[in-house]
Amino acid sequence: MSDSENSTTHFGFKQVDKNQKVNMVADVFHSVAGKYDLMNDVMSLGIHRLWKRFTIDCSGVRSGQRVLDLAGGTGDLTAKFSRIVGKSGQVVLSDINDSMLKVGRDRLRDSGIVGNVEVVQANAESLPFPDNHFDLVTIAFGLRNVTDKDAALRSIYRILKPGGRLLVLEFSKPENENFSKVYDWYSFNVLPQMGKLIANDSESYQYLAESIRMHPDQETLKSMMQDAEFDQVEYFNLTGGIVALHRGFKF
Amino acid sequence: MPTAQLLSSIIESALNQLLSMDEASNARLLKLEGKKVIVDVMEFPQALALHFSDQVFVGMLSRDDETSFVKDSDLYLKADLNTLLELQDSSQITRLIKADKVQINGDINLAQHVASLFKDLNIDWEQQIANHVGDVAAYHISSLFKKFKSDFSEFGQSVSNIVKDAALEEKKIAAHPLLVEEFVTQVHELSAQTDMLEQKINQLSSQRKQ
Repeated sequence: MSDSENSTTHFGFKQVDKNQKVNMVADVFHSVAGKYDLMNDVMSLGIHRLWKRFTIDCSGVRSGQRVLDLAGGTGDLTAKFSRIVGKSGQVVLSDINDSMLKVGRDRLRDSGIVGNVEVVQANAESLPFPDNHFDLVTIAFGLRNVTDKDAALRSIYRILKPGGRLLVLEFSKPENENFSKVYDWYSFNVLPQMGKLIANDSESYQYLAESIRMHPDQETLKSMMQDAEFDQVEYFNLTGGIVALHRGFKF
Repeated sequence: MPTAQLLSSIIESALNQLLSMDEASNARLLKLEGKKVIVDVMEFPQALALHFSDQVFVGMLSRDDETSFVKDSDLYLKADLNTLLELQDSSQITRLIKADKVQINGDINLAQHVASLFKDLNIDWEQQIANHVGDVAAYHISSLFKKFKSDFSEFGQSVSNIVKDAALEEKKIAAHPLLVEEFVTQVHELSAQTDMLEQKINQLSSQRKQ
């Protein structure tokens, strides 16, 4: 969370100038984009696919709807939503990082999914979409990297239609202390080594482990969503609380 | 580990694999394009959502969100497993609805299209096997399987005959159909004679009163 009284914020465990954070995050994702999907599968043993399925299951998505996949990067959620909303619906794949979007665009084209998907580079803190525009906004493993999360939540609220919902899938705090210790060991000892071996980049995965610890816990994020005027906010812990899905509505 | 999602991904993969093995599936899927069907089988821990496009996407829905199931689908079906199997016969639908054994909201024709998507699957298994092991091996495997199926069917019939004979002739725990038929005829004759006797008694009673 950022310190509003001065212009610094956290980048993992480091304190950096707020203006620098977005570029530092950009560097991380330019670096990991090429091996992003592979690393997700290796690090989570494929379980990230099930977390994302759970997100779709909680979305209530229907044919003909308009969906924004924010910080959607390489487009795996977009690909699924595209099939579900069909020709009469639309999916916007949006990310601040153009390297990630390039991977996403190529992947979607290779899967034969093009017709109802639009790709837009944008900053979650100030989204370039009209008010009351989307039925559903999802942000999967992206909110953690946003400098001003409150601004992003307010921006998302604005562009949602009345009755629409926000789903935030993100790393969170494990429920059990012993499990938390095992998870910490895995994050700080195994992940950076995997990053070095597979992506030749241990620093980005060090940032991953650190940024997870700096992200708000379940209750704090729930309050932040309520402060941004979301209604009926609730969260669901997955895999012992390593990941949480937060859901809120705009009424 | 989100177990429900693991299960739905396995089911989805299997369904799409089966559909891809029959070219005629595309036309049947087209009738369902863009539709969302929620099937709530009471014995299962969660409800199933089927989204149809050029493929099927299978989702799992928590019953905590049950109040939105009707609004969130083109067809919503809630029943126990036995009833769901009975629903394959469309002539049973009205009876089952009247007996409160199934709740259906939405377009009922969709149910028939969904059933036909899987019931009408016509997969050339020999060709599918041939894609992996070659034509000759596939032919032999297929012939072997057909022979096994025929032998098993004969064996089953033979066992059925043995049990029937044992029940009728050896252990005499069941009556022979011809004996049952003779018994029923005798009972009808007795009933007719009893009716005639009753009429005669009534006639004599009324004559005596006079």
